[in-house]
Formats: sequence, C-alpha cells, structure tokens
Amino acid sequence: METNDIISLQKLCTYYNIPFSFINALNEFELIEIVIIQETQCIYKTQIKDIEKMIRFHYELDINIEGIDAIYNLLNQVESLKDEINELNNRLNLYEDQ
Amino acid sequence: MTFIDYYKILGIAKNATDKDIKKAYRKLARKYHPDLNPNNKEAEKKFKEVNEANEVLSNTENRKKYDQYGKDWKHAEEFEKAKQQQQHYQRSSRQRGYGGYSNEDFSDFFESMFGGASSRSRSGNVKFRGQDYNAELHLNLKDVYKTHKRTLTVNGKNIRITIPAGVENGQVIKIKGHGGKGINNGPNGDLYIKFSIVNHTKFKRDKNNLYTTVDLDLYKAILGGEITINTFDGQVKLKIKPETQNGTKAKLKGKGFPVYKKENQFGDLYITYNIKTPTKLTEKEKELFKELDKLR
Repeated sequence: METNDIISLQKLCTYYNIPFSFINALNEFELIEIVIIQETQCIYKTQIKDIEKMIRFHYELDINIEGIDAIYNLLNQVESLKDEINELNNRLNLYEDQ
Repeated sequence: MTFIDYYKILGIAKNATDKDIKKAYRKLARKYHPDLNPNNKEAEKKFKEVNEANEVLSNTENRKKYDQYGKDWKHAEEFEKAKQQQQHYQRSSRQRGYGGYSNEDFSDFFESMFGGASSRSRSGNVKFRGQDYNAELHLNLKDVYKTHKRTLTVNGKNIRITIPAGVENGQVIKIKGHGGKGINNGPNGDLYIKFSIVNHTKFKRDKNNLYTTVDLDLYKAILGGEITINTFDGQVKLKIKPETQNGTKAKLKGKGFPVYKKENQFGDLYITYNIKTPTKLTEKEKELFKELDKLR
C-alpha cells in the first residue's frame, strides 16, 4: 500500500535490497519510526534520506547499529551547533561596525 | 593528467594483502565519508581519492594492471588488449560506486586506465538517490526584503527558484530533485542552497528585528518634537518626548524585517537615539548655557 507520505517496509527493503531485520533494528534503536497503516508496516518517506545514510554506514562502512546510533546523535549535535554558530554570528553583526 | 600512487593514498605497502587493503580502506572511508563530514569539500576530495584507490587495489585484475602499467599510463596501447577484454565486464557493472559515487567522481588517470567505475555495490541493481549538491547564493539584505524569483545555473542547468522574503544569513533551503541523477533509476538528489546575505544598509538585523541609531539634536531631545526617520521601506514621522535621554530606545512595531514564510508579518524596528550636543557655540549661546547651568 502506498500513499504520498508513506512507503511500505516490504517495498523499501526490496528497493534497497536490505533485510527487514535491518529496518527493524533501526526501529528498535528509535532511529526511525515504523507506523502501521491498514495492517501494513510502513515508514514516512521523509525518513528515507536518513535510512539511505544508515544503509551506507552499515553495509559500506561496517558500522553496527550501536555505532550508527552514536553517530546520529553526534551528527545531530553538530547540526545544532552549526545552527547556533550561525545564529550567534548573525547576532554578532549587531555589535560590529559595518 | 598525473600518475596517482594508490598505495600511498591508502597508506599501505606495495606488497599489502587484500586484508590490509580492506582494513586501510575502511579506516579512511570512515574518516572521510561525506555522510560523516557534511559540507566538507576537503573530506569529499579525500574520500574520492580513497574510493578510487580501493576500486583499483581491491580488484585483483585492476591491481595487476596498475602494478604493471600504472607509472606508464601514457602507453595505453600496451594494455589496450586487456582493456578490450574488460569491456564486457564494465558495460554490465558500471552501475554505481560507493554510496552514490558515480563515474564522474573518478580521476582522469583512473578513466584512462580502467575506463570507469567498476561495481563495488552490494548489488548492481540497488537503486540509490543521486548525490546532493550544495551551492552558495550571495545576496544583499535588500534583496531578501521581498519574495522574488531568481534563475540559478547549477551544473549547467538553469533552475528558477523562489527566494522567500525574510531568509536569514547562513540559512539553507532545499530544492528537491535538483541534485545529482539517481543511480539505477533511483530518485535524484536534492540541491541545498546556502544564503550568504551581505548587509550594506545602516540597519542591523537580528532575525526579524532591525536596529538603527538616529541622531537627535539637543534641543529636540530636551523640548520634544517630531522627526522623520528612514525605515527599511520608507520614511515615518516619530514623536520625541521632552527630556529624552541619550541612548533611549524606541520600538516601531511591524517596521522590521519580514518573517520568513509568513506573509504580511514583520518584526520590529528598534531605534536608539544618539543625542548630538552642539559644537562651535557662539558667545551668545555660551552665555545662555551658563545661565541655564546657574538655574540647575
């Protein structure tokens, strides 16, 4: 079953040639969220980009799920820090002469 | 086109075993992988080098050819025969590289020797999104006061985008599907545009609020009155209270910068009064100030 916002796990696993257990493990680590719609396990399409990244981490860099979890937390922190730096830089302009 | 020492790139000896190559590659790939180094051009370059070195050295046939002819890559005829034998293999396997890594990412040296990327994927049929592109767009603060359209040229393609009013310096917007082509019919990557906004105005900006300093003559500050000031989109008249102190701030509601993606919503304009004391006083003025002084 498909809608514009979700994709079934079955289709996702076939598309990326990955076992269902991998997606399940990501879900168990709360790295992604599986939703059940009309008795079918699905994910939101907005998560696909992250899942692709996790596939690369796992299958191409040999990083286990625990490692992916740690990396994701750190990458999120990096993103937050980048945003904060940008915000502070913009604010700093208030006190600098043009 | 120069010779590339793939062994040096992976930091391994010429007699390295397959296991050594794999180990060195994994270590460097984890260090320079674009997913772990977002927007880091230097890491991306290193990763491409590492990936290319691995493409060659981890493939027995390629490694043999590289070891034999690598330094003499100009003498293409010598291994032309071997190349022809490989053509069938390449045609069927030139699908994708590492994590959306395409043939375009290989050096001229590699292309000359091996003709393109061989498949390192888990499966040649796996579909992957194309690479995301990053671009930086330089604009003036005045440009982003109003929503407008602009045509950009990215990788030779013209893209017409809408730049919403109120976009911030350093903000990144995503243009879906305008990145690299998908691999094996996978979806295209996205284009990320980072805005670099230069402010040449006398206003300073903090998110949606604007700040400016207005000079006020001493008499108006003491006696009060009306002044005309410039806002970002025109002039407004402002009442000055009697006995206004230097550094007093006034807020003009809704006269700031547009709120991003919220039509007709604006921040505020904060004005700081800078009271200018008169200079080059005449004798008469000095006398009058002395009289005022005595009154206090």
